[in-house]
This record gives sequence, C-alpha cells and structure tokens, in this order.
Amino acid sequence: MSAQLAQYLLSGLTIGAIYALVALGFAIIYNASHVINFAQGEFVMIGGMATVSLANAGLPVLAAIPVAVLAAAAVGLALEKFAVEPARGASVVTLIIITIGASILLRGLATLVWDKNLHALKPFSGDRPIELAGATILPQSLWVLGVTFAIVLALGWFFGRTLTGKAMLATSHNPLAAQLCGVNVRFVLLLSFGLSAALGAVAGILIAPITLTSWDVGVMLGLKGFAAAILGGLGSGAGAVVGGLALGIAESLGAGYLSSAYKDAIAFVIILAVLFFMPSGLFGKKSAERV
Amino acid sequence: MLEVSALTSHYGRIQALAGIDLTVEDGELVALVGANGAGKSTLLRAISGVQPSSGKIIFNGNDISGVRSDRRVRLGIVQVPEGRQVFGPLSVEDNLRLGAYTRTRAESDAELERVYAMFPALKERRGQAAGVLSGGQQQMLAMGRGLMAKPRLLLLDEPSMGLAPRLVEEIFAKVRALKAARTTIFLVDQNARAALSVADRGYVLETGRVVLAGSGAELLADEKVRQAYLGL
Repeated sequence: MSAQLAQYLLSGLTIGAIYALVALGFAIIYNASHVINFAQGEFVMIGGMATVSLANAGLPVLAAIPVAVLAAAAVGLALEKFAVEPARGASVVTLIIITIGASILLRGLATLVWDKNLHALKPFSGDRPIELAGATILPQSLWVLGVTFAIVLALGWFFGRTLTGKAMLATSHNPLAAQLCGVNVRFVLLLSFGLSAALGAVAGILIAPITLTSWDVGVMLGLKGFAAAILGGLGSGAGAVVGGLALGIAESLGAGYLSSAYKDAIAFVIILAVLFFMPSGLFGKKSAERV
Repeated sequence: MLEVSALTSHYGRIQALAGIDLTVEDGELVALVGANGAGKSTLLRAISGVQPSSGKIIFNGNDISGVRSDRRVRLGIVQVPEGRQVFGPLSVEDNLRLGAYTRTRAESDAELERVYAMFPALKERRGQAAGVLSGGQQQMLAMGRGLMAKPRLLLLDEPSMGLAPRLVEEIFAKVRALKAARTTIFLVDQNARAALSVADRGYVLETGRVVLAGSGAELLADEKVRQAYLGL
C-alpha cells in the first residue's frame, strides 16, 4: 500500500468517524420519532464552541468537555420539550420543518452568545504527528477514532443489553405495543433528543482541534452526517457507522486523487446516488411482516 | 374492578363509542362481541389509555380517566393488542422482558419462568427474532408478553384472529387456564361462540353502543345473538 493511499485512508477514517457520530444522532431521533432532525449539526457546533469558550474562560479542557456535552444535551432536551412535543400529532414534515427553524435559531443565538470568528481548540495531547505505515497521523485523530469506537461500543451495549435501550428500539418498531407494555413513549422521545445532542456535541469537540470551529460549522457537518445516515440506511445504527466511515474515506480519496475542490460535492453525489438506486441504504430495513 | 360509564370516543368526526356503560368484576371473564367496526377495539384502547375518550373509567375505586397509558399498565391494566403487535426484530425473550418493563428485574426473572412453563414453544425459540415466528406462536408471545406485566385486568383483543382452528382451540385453552388461575379477563373476539362459551358474562356491542348484556349462557341462547353473531 502506498504511503499516499495510507495517508488518505487515515484522514478519511478520522473525518468519517465524526460523520458516523453525527449520523448516529440522526438515526436515534429518526427511530424514536421518524423525524429527521436538521438541528443535529447545531449540537456539533454547540459542543465545539462551548468547549472553546469555557477553555478560554480558564476552565481546564477536561472539565470544559463534560460541561459542553451536558449543555448541548440540555439544548436537545429543550428542543424536544418546547418545539417538538407541543407539535406532537402534527405530520412528520411539520416536525422536520420545526427542526430546520430550530437550527436557524440556534445558529443565530450562537453568533450572539459567542461571535462569528473561527476558533481553535488545543489538541488533547499535543500535535506531534505519529508515523504509521509510512503515513502520519495526528494524536487528535487517534482521540477521534478511539472515542468514537468507545461510543459505538457503549451504544451497542445500551441498545442491545439494557431494558431502556430495548424499550427505545421497541418504541421505534411499534409505538402502540410499547405503550401497552408500559413504556412512556414521550420519555423515549425526550431521551433520544438528549442522547443525540450529546453525541453531536462529542463529535464537535473531537473535531474542533483539527478543523477549527465556528458558529456555522454545524451546517456542513450536519449535512455530511445526514448523507452518511442515508448511505447506511436511515435508522440503522450499524449503517450510520459504516456510512460515516465510507463517506469519510470516499471524500478523502476523492479530494486526494481527483481534486480537493470536489471534496464537499462527494457527499451530495452519494446522497443522490443512494436515493436513486437503493433508497433504503446499505443496512436499511426492508419491510416484511408476517400477518 | 373495572367500571366504565358514559364512555365516548371519536376518530375525527366519526363517533366510535357512543356512551358505553359496563363493569368487570374481580376474577370474572367478560366477553365483548360485536361486528367489525362496532367499536370493540376502540373500547379496549380507551381503557388502556391509548385512545382519547371522555366519560368515566373507574379501576379498583379510582378514577383513571386522565391517567397516562404507562401508569395504567403499572396499575395492572394490561392489553394484548389485536394483530399480535410483537416487536419483530427483537428476540422472543426481549419481547417478554419488555412486557415486564414496569417491574423489577427479579420479578421479571420469576415471571419469565412461569410464562415459559405456560408456553414451552416460546422457551425453545427464546433467541429467535419474534418476526420469524408463525402466527400462532406470535399470538402466544403477545399473550406471554402481556402476562409478564402481571395483569390485574387482562384485556385480550381478538386473540384467535386469523389462526387455524387447532390453534384457536389452543388459545382458548390458555384463556380458560388463566381464568382458572383467577385472572380477571376482558375478552374481545370475533369468534363469538368460543368467547361466550368461556365467559361468565358478555356484552354485545353495535355501532358504539351496548345493545345486550347477560351471562355467557344467556347470550349464547339469545335469538338475536344466534342470528347475528353465531350464524344460526
């Protein structure tokens, strides 16, 4: 394997892991409510921006990160409580438009609370590149990959092993039957927004030292995460991870071998291709039910 | 145990329940029969709190009309819904565990053994996805899931629907076993003869109204019931 290819793959995996986290956020909310939450990117922005501003205010980064994640989760809960829940019973399209409105509001608030400048977060453990198979990788990339891996494992445990996680899956499959089992589906919806927001914030914090962060960083990361979710199959956890990594690698290879000018276009070409040729994505469920 | 009075419910502008009054006593098996669209399922959904309704629902002396559906499950009102509604992608055991969502882990463990003893076929398939079970097994699973919640009042909606006669027989044998164990049951079934035969009492529902009430044997002998629902 050429060193160049190894380099593209490593940087593709890094950004792909971020897309995967964002895509998981889309998947969790989609499963709970069939809503595509277009404010998902703003959680990414809030995570990065809040960490930067807390760090600038003198808080050690290790303390700033959990505060920023909790802040983003609180915004997610508030979004559900005050914007989505009052409109329950409305059509899914209406709810999606509400999330678009919320994303515009959150970006506006971010320019008021913070500013319109680019901000850098210091890498967690220095910025001396590490040699790997002829290519180099930043220590921050290892953080991105490691934390993403840990989160995927934790989510796998939560949805596969805990009753609360299974109740969330059950609710996504059949809300009526879940209610009849005594699951409070409104709580499930609230939990899904909090969890997705926290995931988005973690993605935003991890990537901030590599790509900088600003008030509008969520627009592109949100759309890329959405593309990854579509590619993997909306609502599939495994699909979100595979879709994210695949999108990141495709982008990185495209930028390397074709032209870096097309980097952002690749995600959208992929969305179109998936929607045209396999609308349920790589891992999307084919609906078949025994009656 | 259950006392429903002047219960009404609508789907949009269409009235599905036009003032229902009925009672279910402790330990009784009460059957509800009626044609398709008479409002049977709507009534059960209103009792479970998953269908908006007005009127009074008294359970064990408490007015639960405004109580959320998940709280009603905690109170012991458990419904096995029409059409099974199992969680297809989840395993049989996960489906059962979710039935005990409102209970402690220890209670869930103990109940699981009882349900497996009652439905041995489920134990054999505990690791399989619920969606691949046959229709009859899915019905057993739906009943098992309901029992996991430890119902004080079990609402059974069309448990024999779409099943082969041998399986219908099996389902009703389970219903009789539950009755023998003093579970209070409110049973809706289109198989009016089977439902009324196992029931202590029954109600006949027509276009959202109770038009006839009596003991199971009385209703089975009633000329109108025989013509309309038993095809005699």
